[in-house]
Amino acid sequence: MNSESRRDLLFNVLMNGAAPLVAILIAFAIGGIVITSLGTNPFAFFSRMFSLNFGSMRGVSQMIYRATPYFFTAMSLSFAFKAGLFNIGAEGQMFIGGLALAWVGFTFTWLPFPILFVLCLVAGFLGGALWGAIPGYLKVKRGAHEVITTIMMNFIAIAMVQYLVQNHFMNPDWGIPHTPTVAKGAYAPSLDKIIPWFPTGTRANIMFLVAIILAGLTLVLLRRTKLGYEIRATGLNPNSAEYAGIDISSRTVMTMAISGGFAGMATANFILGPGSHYFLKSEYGGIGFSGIAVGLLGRNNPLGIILAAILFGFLENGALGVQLYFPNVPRQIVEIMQAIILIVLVIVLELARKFLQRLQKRG
Amino acid sequence: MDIFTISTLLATIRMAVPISLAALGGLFSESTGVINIALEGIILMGAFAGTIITNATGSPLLGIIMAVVAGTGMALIHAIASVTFKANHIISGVALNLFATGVTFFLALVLTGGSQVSVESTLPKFLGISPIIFVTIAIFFLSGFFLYRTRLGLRMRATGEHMAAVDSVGISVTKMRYLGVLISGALAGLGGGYLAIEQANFFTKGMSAGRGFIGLASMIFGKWTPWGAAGAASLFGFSQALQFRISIPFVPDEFLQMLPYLITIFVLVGAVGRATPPAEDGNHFLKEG
Repeated sequence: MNSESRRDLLFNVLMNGAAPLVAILIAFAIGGIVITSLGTNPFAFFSRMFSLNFGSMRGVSQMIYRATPYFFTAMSLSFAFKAGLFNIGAEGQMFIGGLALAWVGFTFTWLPFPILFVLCLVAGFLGGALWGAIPGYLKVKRGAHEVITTIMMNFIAIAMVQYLVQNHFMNPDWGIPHTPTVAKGAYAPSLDKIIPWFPTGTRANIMFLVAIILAGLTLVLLRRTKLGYEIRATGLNPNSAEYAGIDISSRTVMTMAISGGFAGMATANFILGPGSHYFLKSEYGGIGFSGIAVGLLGRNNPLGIILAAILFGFLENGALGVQLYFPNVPRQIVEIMQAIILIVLVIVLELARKFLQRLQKRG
Repeated sequence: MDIFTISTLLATIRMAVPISLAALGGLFSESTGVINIALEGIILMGAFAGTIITNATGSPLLGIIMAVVAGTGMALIHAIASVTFKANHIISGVALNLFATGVTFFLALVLTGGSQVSVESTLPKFLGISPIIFVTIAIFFLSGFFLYRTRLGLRMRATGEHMAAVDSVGISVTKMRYLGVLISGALAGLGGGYLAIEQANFFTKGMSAGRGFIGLASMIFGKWTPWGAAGAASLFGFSQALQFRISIPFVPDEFLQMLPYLITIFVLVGAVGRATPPAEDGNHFLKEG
């Protein structure tokens, strides 16, 4: 092994392996301290969380069910990153896409599976893509920075979805405004129908596989197609990309649209998967924002994102279950831990980068 | 329909206070070249700390002071991450916003058992107006003077325009940037304290509701000047004040709720191109050798 490839290996191990792990460990340590201060044994807390997730196949599938939406919103962030764009609008794109896919599901009820199911996914993608393309367009046409416009689009989406559900698509059965249920043809099959290891009645569903397939397709798109090359070139250096004849404006809008499309499919897991089968806004809040943390923790790499999404699924599923055993610890403890992971990660990454640079200078 | 009344004017000013303080905070931070989108979380943290301390001590003044302290503390984390460790300013800001959302909700549950906490006492009003409004106006006068007329203020702004030049004359870029970020945290924290203690009289999870981001948009609309930012913040304050004052037939409430955010986008679309941010915005200072 020559020194260059050794350096690459070291870079990979430190930046993509050690740094995220250190961030996760520190977050668990801080979480543990907080839990201790509430008078609960953190080891009992976390080991209960572990056994709730990994103690049975039911736990594992529940964890996957919780992890799946993060996978989509994290891919949304990472895809935009490839073109050097910071899409913080996954939250809004997720709401618009979610309502779009629910609408198709409860409107075209006569269509059979899998036609309706696929149409729902397409609708979710298009809804999110539209909501993502708008900030992209405003950036290239008017120079409005996407960080602020995507955040504003989140608030607009939330108000818009609330208006649409309450005034046009309300299911009057019970209290909290939600849409009618989608037709059977839109149901996402649960994983036990595909993979025999999963217990019957699991809520983990085909959307997890859809996410993995999409991640694979994205890799092919980015690495093997002209469009992917142009998107990456735009991200690496927009000036030289433009000089090389790439239409960076159209690539920017397209990247934001695809990125938004991924986010738009995030709630299919809940709406089409086993469960309630309707769009209920309050159930999805925060998944778009957490996707930012998942994408960065996964180092914008599909495999890393799967692992990071599963970690977030682990935390969320664990937090929901562990409440029965430790009711004095609010489950928002995991939200704090997720944020700490991200803060520590950015610091550890810079330390690792500095260390590698020093190493490189020494030769 | 009569919307241009004294009471609308007062409501506009009340609504504009947290936004304008966030805008001024963003201005201080960006004048040294550090982008601070953590302002949103800082407002939330200030609102929470202010509420809890006001209720615990019975003193809204202490509450306001703690809001400023909490905001400065959050800003310190942002400065450590983005100045000392040279992390991407936006990522650090996003992380802090997530942190503030989680931590305030968590602590509200642990300390009070609910996600909404009412504030038990407010500052004595002067002519029916919260004294923080006068404080805010004074802060704007002082900031204008400080940034354009004092040595330290000019040095901070120079840091935002050309770090290497500032460094070459022996001024610490790091110190200037820390100062800018910490002041921004103190101001946004004050805005948060005002929001909970004086304006809403309660804390509730996520109550910042985009005010930090709208503050940043005000800063941009105001072309990175204190009075421009104040003017833009007043426009947003007006649009929020309208929400509670008018109900137009056939226009759903949700559309009025969208108004501040829509205006923000229109402002960004219209204002950028005519205004220039500090040249070093978002850059890291990498010393040679």
